[in-house]
Amino acid sequence: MTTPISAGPSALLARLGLSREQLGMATVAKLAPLLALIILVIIGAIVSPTFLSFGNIRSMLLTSAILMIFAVGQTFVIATGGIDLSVASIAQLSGVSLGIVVAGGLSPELGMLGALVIGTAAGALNGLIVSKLKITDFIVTLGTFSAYSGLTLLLSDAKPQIVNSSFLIAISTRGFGLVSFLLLIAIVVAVVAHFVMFRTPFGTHVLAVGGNKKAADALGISFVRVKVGVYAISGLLAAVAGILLVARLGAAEPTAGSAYQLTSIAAAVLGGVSLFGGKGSIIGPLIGALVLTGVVNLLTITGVPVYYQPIAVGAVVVLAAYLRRYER
Amino acid sequence: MKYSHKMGVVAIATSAMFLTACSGGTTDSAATADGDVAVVLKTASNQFWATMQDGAEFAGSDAGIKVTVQSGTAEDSVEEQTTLLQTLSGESYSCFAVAPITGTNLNQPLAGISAAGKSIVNLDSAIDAEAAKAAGIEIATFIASNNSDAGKQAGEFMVAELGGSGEVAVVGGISGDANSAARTGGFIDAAEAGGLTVVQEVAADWDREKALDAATTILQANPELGGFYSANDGMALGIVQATQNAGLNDVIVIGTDGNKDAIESIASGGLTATVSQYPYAVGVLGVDACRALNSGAEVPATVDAPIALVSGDNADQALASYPQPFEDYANPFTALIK
Repeated sequence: MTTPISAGPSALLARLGLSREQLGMATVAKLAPLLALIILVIIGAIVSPTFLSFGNIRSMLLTSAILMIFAVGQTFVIATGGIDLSVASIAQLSGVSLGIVVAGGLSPELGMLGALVIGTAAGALNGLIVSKLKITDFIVTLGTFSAYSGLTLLLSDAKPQIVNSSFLIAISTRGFGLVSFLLLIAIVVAVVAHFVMFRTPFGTHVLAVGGNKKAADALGISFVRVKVGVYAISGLLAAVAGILLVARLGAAEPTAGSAYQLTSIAAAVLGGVSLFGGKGSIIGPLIGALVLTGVVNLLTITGVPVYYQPIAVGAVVVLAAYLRRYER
Repeated sequence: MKYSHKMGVVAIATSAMFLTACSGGTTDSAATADGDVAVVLKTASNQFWATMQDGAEFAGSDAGIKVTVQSGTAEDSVEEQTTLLQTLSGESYSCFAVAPITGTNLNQPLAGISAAGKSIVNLDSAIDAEAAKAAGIEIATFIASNNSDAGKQAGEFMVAELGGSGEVAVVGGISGDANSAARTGGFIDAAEAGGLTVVQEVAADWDREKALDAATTILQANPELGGFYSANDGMALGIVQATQNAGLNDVIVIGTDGNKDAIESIASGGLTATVSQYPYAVGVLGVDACRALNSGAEVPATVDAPIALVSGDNADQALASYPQPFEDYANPFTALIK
């Protein structure tokens, strides 16, 4: 079969069986996160002379780092057609376990290791319940969100625990110029995640399970292993985020960061990850996280009352999801 | 569709470069200049902090300097407050007056502020000293009303009202909060020294509804209860509601803060008393401290803000001068501002 040498727009259209309008909107939908970022940058530059200043860009990048990490973990789960509503509580649980280790006089480094193990285990438990007991992801993680939150309050007696670790202080307060260490960690996480998602068999299995479960089953892909795997990843990254939250807040706060339960999903959706599974990227959610953070930042530096922030975030997410409709 | 991906990347790259180049020369333009003050408070949804904001903004407009006040959406929006200060710290304010929600949650942006050589004024809620030191944060001055004194005054008033014997209950704010602990601690010491028995102490998270529920339960369990002390006015008003619901209007309720609605309640016979902490004055003192620091002066390490017990006797006087204290107070910064 030969394709015409001049593979111009009309040939493309013919091959895809689309009308010109559909092709245009499909492109827009695919580029939605980038477009959102460009629009935000343009509006920000017009409305405020300091939006694009060195200091402010550094602030935005720093602030978006933790959300980026949550969003990447969430992406793995959503790519299998699931959703993880327990990420914020896993982060809180991990943070509190770090606090308990430190309160017990042991080293913060040991506490961090423990936190990562606990987060991964909590995530893996989610995956097991979903795949072995065959209960839908939404319900399972809604339940574990509640259970892990309660466990966190129980273990911490609902009180914060100050964590004085020079390592964590260094991570949260220093960096190189525009790139603070928090952002660097998020970038490393993203690079590794991208590799896992798109360059390993596991990643292919993840997308297969989300894209077409019947075909995946037929190919012998283990549903249990994939689900446990993605939820363990989500739990591990939630634990990383939880540790960074402790670094940022100077203490293990049992109830801080609850907003990430929803903003992690929002960032992933904004970044082009399909809630039906099977389709996604890692760079998309990163841009989504940046856009969400940028909107809040712009509202803050223009002095808009803080109560408008959640409204704006909601509007941005719904708008981005609307553009999803035009994707093939 | 690699073609459109490349286009997208090129588009964003050129826009970003173009815009950064355009704005590169205007980083320190009209928006902020030396001498401008940024104030970060807990949440404007609580009248206490809203009043502190009013004081700070008044002091700014009075002196002709730009004062920007930002606060979170709720009393426990911990990370939100951190992000607010982070954002403000990237702008060119020369002094930051902050009231952190926890002892450490603002330390990350404060470390950057200290490293940049800008001044930090701590308002009302103390920044944890050890953590601040570990992060290299230099706090120029701490301005607060003495919380345990406030509790003590409430305790002494309760002793007087109950004639030296009886049962009382204590309702605190968010568990572990240092200010709450100082207030309730001061109250309990004074109450027990005066012969009263503290039958129960609960934490109601600074929340009116939680306090109402807690008070209702306590009243049912202790029908002989003489009075309640609450670590803030919002909760105290919830407790008043609980006593009225139970038909026990004689139960004494004392709050803390001195919010307008609390004083009005005292004037109309609901709340018995409150210890006013004059957040308005703290706001004024905070901005004045920044002005003194901006002009290069050395300021005292701690400054006590005025407090006063407001009861039926002086409620009208308090309302008339609200939000200012009805008695004069010392402002050590006015002399230092050059």
